[in-house]
Amino acid sequence: MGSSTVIIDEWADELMSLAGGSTPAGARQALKATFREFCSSSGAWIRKLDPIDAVKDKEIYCLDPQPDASILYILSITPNPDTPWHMRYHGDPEIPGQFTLVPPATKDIPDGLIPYVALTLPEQWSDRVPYLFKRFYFDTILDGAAGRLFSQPGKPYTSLPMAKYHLRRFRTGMAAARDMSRRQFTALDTQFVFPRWAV
Amino acid sequence: MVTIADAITQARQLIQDSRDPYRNSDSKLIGYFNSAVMSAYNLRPDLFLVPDTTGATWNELTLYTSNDIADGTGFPVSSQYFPAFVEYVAGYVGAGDDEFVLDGRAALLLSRFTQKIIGGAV
Repeated sequence: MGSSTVIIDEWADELMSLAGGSTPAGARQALKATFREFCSSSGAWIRKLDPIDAVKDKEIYCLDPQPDASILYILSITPNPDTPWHMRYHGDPEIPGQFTLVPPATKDIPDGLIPYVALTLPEQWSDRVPYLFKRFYFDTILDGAAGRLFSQPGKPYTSLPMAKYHLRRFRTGMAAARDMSRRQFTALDTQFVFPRWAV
Repeated sequence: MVTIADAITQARQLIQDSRDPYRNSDSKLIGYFNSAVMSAYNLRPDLFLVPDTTGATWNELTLYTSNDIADGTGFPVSSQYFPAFVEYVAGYVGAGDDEFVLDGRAALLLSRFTQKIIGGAV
């Protein structure tokens, strides 16, 4: 749980070069909106939480709030492999960190439930994001923020063709991020290898 | 850090009014500067974004006075738009009705303000 963080200046400096005439505050605003859209659309920021106890006859459980993120939705609640038991759950759209077991546990099971959640940025944000965004999704985030800036009307950097180009790359990057996160960063979905002349 | 005083000084150089006693008072020029701020806010409200931890806000526009020249008050937006504000002030002085006016140059300076704010033109 938790990871090292990087400041969004990593992206802001590149963004200011792309969109001449933008201000630092405008670039940061575009980056923040892009991070939020990326997290909510791709669900790529995944975290396995500490196991929680299953309590006899208890239906509603609340996950602990994360210190560096907000829970977007629950990806899965799996039973502890050491004490497997048949269970189903459903989440609550108004309280993202809350779920209901159906049916409830018939006995107390310590560490009986292992939650996996998708995260997004916290409400109070300090201009720092987890390192995984820089390592895996740097260009995708940059494309999203650039597309957002280029699509603003009446600006020195307004350019609809550039906006379309960057936003297309952003959407492709989000789809790839969603795919990789679901595969838990283990393997590509294909064994295709580009020929030497195309590399 | 550029200041409002720097903008007024450069505007005076453009309108050939740098020597005391001035033809155009500080209060007159600062009034035109306030107009430039309001015009910029109309054209580019993003120049006045104030980011914070939950998003971004816009503060109420500040109306400056000649005291801000003496106090060294900072330029209210990103300094890359400093020349545009200088040209706005000089342009509006030129739009006045006196024997020192050059109408064509005034119109050019005012149009350059808009071009620089929304078009990025040099």
